Amino acid sequence: MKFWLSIIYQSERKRLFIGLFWSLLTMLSGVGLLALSGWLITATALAGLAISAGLIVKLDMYMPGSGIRYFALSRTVGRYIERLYNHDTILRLIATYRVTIFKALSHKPLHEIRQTCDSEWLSRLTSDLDALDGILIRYTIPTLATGLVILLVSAFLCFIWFDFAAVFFLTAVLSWMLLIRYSVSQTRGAAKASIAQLNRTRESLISHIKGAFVLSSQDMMAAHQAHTLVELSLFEEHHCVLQKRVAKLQFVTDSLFGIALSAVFFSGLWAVGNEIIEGPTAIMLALLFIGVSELLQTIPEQFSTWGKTEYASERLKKLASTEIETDLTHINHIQAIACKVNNLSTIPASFQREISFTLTDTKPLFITGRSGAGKSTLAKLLFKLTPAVQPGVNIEINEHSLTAISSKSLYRVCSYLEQSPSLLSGSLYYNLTLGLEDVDEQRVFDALAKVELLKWADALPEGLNTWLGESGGQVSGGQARRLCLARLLLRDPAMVVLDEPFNGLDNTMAKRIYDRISPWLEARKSIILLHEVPSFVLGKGVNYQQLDVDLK
Amino acid sequence: MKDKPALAPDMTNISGAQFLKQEVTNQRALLNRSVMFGGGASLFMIAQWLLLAFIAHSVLVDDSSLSSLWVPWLLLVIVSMVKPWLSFQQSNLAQDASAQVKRSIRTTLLNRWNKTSPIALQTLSGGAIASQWVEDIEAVDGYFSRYWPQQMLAVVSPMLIIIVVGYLNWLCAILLLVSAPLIPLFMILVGMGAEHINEKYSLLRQRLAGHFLDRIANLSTISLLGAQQTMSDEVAARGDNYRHVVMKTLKLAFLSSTVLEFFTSVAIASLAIYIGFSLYGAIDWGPAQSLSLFSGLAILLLAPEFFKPLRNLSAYYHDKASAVGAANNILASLSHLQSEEEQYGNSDARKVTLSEHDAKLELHNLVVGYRSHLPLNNSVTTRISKRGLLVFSGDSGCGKTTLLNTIAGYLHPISGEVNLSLKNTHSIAYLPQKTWIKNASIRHNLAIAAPNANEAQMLTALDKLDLTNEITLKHQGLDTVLGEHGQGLSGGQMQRISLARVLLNPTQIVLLDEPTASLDLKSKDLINDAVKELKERALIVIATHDPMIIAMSDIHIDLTKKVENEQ
Repeated sequence: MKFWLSIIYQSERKRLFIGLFWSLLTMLSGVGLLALSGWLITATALAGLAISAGLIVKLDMYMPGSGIRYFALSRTVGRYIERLYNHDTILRLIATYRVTIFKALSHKPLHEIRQTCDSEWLSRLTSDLDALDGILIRYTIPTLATGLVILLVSAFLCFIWFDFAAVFFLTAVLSWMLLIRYSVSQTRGAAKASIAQLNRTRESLISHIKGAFVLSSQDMMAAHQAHTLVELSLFEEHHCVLQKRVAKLQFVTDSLFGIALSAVFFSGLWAVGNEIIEGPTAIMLALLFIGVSELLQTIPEQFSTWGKTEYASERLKKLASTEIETDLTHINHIQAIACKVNNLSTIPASFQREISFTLTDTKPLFITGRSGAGKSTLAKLLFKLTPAVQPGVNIEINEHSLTAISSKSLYRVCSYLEQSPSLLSGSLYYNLTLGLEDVDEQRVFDALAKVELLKWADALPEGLNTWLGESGGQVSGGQARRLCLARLLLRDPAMVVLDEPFNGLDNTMAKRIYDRISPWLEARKSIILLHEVPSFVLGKGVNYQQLDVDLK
Repeated sequence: MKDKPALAPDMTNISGAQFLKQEVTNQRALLNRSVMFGGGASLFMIAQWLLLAFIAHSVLVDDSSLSSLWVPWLLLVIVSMVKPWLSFQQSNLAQDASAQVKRSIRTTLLNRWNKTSPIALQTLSGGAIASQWVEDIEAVDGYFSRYWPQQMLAVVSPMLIIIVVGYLNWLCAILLLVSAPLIPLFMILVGMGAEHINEKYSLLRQRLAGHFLDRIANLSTISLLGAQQTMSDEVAARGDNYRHVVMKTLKLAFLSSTVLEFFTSVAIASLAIYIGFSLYGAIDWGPAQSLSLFSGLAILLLAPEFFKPLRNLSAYYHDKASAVGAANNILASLSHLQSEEEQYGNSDARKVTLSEHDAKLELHNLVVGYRSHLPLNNSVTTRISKRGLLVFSGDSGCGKTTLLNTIAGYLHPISGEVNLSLKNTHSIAYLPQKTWIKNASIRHNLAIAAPNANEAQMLTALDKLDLTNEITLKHQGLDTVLGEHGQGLSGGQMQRISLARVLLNPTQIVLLDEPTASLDLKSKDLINDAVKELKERALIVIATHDPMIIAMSDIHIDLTKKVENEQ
């Protein structure tokens, strides 16, 4: 949590202090209003009695009267400004956190990102970020302001009755610290367990829903949900434990403060009897105590979410503190790619022989082999989707080791059509031009024509603006693959790797598309991963290289 | 905990607020008890302040000695302990009620989704569904555990206080009474706006979650396309938009509590000044003469308590607004689901005859598509029974998958009929093109669709698909854990694992969508062998353009013929 606190301190220091000021003002006004009113009533009552007994008493009614009016106003205004101001601060912070984390994530090596699953990412980014707002509006500002109120009230009490002030200060500070401590230690474990369980429940649900296609036809959805329900029950248990603990803590705190009030009241009246203070002051002391204890009594509730926040901030810290690649070579062209792989478990044939290739010209390189032979592994190594820092793997681009080349510059000059098509939820145009600026619609239509999707796109209700739903729901698998290919055709990389580009297409369409994209392919270095070199390439007499990665 | 089918069957034509009220009716007993304890706490609170004022009056005005007042002192201590205990019970009971409500909504939603056609379900994003089921339902919590009991207490507690204050001094009671009705009025005005914005806020949050899930699932694509900067700008813009909407909600939400704050402060201030002047003797009209330190102090202490339940209510108003927003959201998504279902067909349109005899599949003039005005294919009529292989082939986008979806009962045909004869309605296995791999062990992945298979059968099935070696060689056998992206396995291997599920739980009809699409020749042979084996004991329907499978088919239907190509 320190990490996030320091970000607050660094980026919003001014807002933090201003927010603290408004909180303090509001709290002091509340305490002051009650105390001054109590004093006034008692003082007037005693004065009234004295007057009716025939004594002459002079009591200034107007100073306390305007004091009361002032406190009434400053409390109202202060509260509104304080809450609004501090919430704005935290939302600003959350927005900053969001971007910081997204940036850190997108600079993470891709293979690391893939190791965590989507649903967990989701809960990290949204609910964890939301949990962070507690740091400012629960733990920092009200707590510090309460501490300052204790300090100022004690200082004020010193002028009235020093002994009481000393005892008051010590007990208030002690209970301030103990309350924070106990609230945290009592609820931390339960809160953490409950949020962790909530995430497991969420994952289980997402997985359940994704399985609908497989499960529904056999009427297995109801049976399969059992797992999700078990996770849910566990969450409910943890949640219940947490709530009961918070309620119990509140009960104990409130009882203790109730007894303490009796004690304060008693000692005040005792002091009046011993002529240490006046009657009105005794009532004022009791009311001051009520005001301060009301502030302290909110601590258990405020700190009950500590565990949740801590859990969230720990996980987010791991994400945000990712080191960004530095001191790496940037490349802006591709002269030669040399790749040698020995004894890599994901490429079985590499135990038999060295799997290697060198690419220096624009002759297409076909890497062939059955599925599981490791074609995609080779491509993934090349694009750092699988860490290339493995014994037996040696990849060099322009005679620089791949591990020393910055991913960003690599992706700028090399493009990769992955085996499974991935479309983002967004418009068709958005998907095709992702990462490009101001692409002419005509070029988009040309690219679509090359992959035989022009007619399809024209028939769409909103043309290029048609929204492609979650994972491109309205698009068939083969169409999605072709869209991804079209997306590459709009770019001008120095090298391109196509993993199974014709998967899901019949032979004649594959041939037509290949013919149409040939000029684009021939203008750059290209690697094409396929089960075998297609007949239309063999028949055409194209000049090509081939690397077979099958076991022999 | 028991699953209660508590919700009224109609969850679509009601508003979020009505929906929450229905839930209140279901938990009335617990909630009423909670309010009773809360009312009890109010009574003890009144007793506490009266005792305090009484002691002050006795000591300061009547000059009683502290020791002679031991009974009120003792009572004061007891009362200050009983009051928190009653509040403790109040919150416990309300939380129990809330837990039951959440449970019942969650179960209902889950059951609803289970019965929904996967095609309609697909139109809701996974992230959105999860955030509905997790966050939205958690957002309902505050309504039951805090808002609703407080709403009752906001009436009960001030009434008790008014009676006591009225007894002490009727003018002060009138002063409080006058300021009280203004508050709910103003709150209603403010609340209506806040509720509307909250609804938007909840929708926005859900979209935000959906956006994140989508972008993160595609993070590698984004990086590969060099679009990180664009995307982080997009994320920043979304976050900023979120802040603006939330701030708008808060400006209103805080305004209503500020109004209360204002009334509380003004009431305390004016009561203090009125009582002060009366006691001083500066005011001598009305019931001013009857005021003493006891009644004056008691009224002053009770004044903030008069407004406290209302202030709490306004603090919890945010809970109510979030709950109503979330409930509206849930209902909106249910009605979206219903309209999607109406488009795709919300009941099984197939004619299924239950028969102990051989399975039969009959397609009669069948035309399929997702929108009734956009048929994908020309009508198909065919008939196959007992066992055998039916293959649909054709270009991508010509309706092969859609046909399978229609046969599986996920989609209504645009025209024509699907007639089935099966031992039970659900004896159909479906293997979609996009493999579904759970983040769990291979054993678990196989068992979900084949619950009765034992380890030996699993290994045999994996063996048939040439997976045993690959798995036991590289990983930890059946206990190998697969990620959501199926890391550690190639696309072909994942597809073979999902085919193994079908082999392990042979149904009378098996639908396979492009089973060989990303497999090599050797694996294709393995699949073909499996299909050959399967078609001897079941009806297999395959959508593919793999010539080897087409060659094996008993019936082959080419859907391409009349769908003209571009160019």
